[in-house]
Amino acid sequence: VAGYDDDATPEALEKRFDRDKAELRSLGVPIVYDPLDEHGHEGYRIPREQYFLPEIRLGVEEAAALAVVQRYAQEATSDPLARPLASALRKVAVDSPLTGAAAASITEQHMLGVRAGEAGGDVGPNLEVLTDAVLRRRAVRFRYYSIGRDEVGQREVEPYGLGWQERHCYLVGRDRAKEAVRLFRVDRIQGRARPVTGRPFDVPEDFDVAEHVDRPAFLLRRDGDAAGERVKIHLRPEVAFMARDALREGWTYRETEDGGGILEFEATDRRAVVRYVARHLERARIVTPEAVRDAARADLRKILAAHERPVRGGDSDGRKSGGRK
Amino acid sequence: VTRDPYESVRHALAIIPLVKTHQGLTIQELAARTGLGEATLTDEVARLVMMCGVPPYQPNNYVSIWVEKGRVYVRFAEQFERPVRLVLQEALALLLALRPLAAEDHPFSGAVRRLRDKILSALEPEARKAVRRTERSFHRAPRGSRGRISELREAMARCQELRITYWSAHRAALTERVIRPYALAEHDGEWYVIAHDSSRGEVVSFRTDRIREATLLDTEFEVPLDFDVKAWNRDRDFVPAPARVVAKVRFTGDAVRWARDELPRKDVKDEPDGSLVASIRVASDVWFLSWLLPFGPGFEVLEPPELRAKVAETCRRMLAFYDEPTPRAR
Repeated sequence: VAGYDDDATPEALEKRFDRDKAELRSLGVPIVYDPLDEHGHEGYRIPREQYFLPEIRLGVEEAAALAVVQRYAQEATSDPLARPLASALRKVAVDSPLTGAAAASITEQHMLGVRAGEAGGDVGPNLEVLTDAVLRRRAVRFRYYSIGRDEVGQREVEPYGLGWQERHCYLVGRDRAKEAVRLFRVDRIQGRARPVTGRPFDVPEDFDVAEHVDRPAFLLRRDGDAAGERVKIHLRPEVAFMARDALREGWTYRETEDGGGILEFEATDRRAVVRYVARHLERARIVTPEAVRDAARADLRKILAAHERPVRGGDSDGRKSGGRK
Repeated sequence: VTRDPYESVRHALAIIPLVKTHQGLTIQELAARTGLGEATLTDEVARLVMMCGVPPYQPNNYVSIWVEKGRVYVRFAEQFERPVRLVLQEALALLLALRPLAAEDHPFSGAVRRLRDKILSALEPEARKAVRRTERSFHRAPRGSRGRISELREAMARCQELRITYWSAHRAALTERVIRPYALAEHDGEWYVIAHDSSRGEVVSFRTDRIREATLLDTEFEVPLDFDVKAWNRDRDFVPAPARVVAKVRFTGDAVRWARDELPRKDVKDEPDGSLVASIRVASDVWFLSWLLPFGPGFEVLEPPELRAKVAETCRRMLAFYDEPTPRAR
């Protein structure tokens, strides 16, 4: 057989065969081992009924959606699943009723943007390791910078899932030392994450990474038992509609006489509420709880005082570099 | 050119069934349908011509592939009748990539739902179960709402102009304009409409969640032939606007580590007193302030004086807002 007809040792040939089998399986080729039958034959077999991709009858619209994804796949080379995505698209292409030109005209109207990858430095290699670990259910070990405690420590985590929120990617998994599910921002992992040998772990049946990641910052914090409290925010008319359109479960929005609105939600992290409101500058304010409202005002008074006085000390670098940009 | 032999096998297993189903496809068409570049594809086809058969080596066990006047044909190769089944990673990658298009009220949402069912039913039961389970391990949180996407979608389908009220975060103002929507784009969990803006006379992008109102107008438009949506992918609106000024900001206390976490290393400098001085390129004052204010009292703008004054002015306005009585609910 070609590829096996050289002078390699039987051991080397066997290794080569194992590697080829593994590669074929990763392509989707089902290879099963048949033990000795009554005629004394044994060996590997590719069952026809499991080999071919069943026909996927694609409608024009469905093919159009695939065309949009295909364009994304060609450009999103930093996506950890870019390779399997491209390979999947090549397989299903056989059932697409669209010509290349038709697909091109659809992708002129609809686009999935490619993340520029500007945030958080080089997370690519770790993202690949973590994606693989999630799929294989293998624990990982890494050094992690906890910004809340301002310290770096070793973690061993069973990675349950990966989620993107704002511009960051988070690993959600069970921290083995803490025996609890935690969030880790992938760009705060220092150095390389490494897989840990051992048996695959189990993921709780009802685990859904969205429940951990798809929440605003003031609900992200989970250290301790910070009890939630209701927060009311008053928004000016020019921005209120965005809050109204993006309500989450358990949130309420009421329009107010000034054309703006009052947004009410649960929060576990007061500092994060103050930060969230500050982002809207003079177009949002905290109504209740009073303590949070007072904290926000106290912050503003301090910032104001710091910017009303003359610049103190200046910049030690200023004299040297002068007008440098 | 592919060097990894397994990658070539991967390509071959997709190319042969495609040509078998659509005999006489051009190289260009084949490249478009497989998402492979024309050069890679030509190379792969040349390789396939050299490929031999499989046991028992009867004539019809040999793949016969040839190119005639730029069109590709294949004969025999019954063992390559169809592509190989999808593996877990492939099915998962496909379903995850389709997710943004499944968003309620997106033009493709219905199609993507059907597609999802079809992809799942093309899997072996075990794989289907695994994909369903693993799907919930990956998520990209949408940011904000999709806003007036259904109006946009209608205007795009009818090629009719829209009058919109838009919140420009850059200018911190609600403005009214007439747009011709050319394309919808998702980027980083946010939706954009790429449209001709008649007030500016140019094609720009708008975040759909910042459109407060949208009214369909009677005037029709045509998408210009030279409109190229690809240009918007990286090099236009999705990258920050060029800096207008560089601000010097000192961070102290807790804000030091948060600032360090967000800013490029080359733009920050540690001071002997433990504070951090950062040089931040500012494209829009409003954007800059709404990024800075959430740091709380741990920051101070050192330069330029105009921005420093603007921080003070903004704080005064924010405090004044706190002094206003809360309006009643409607």
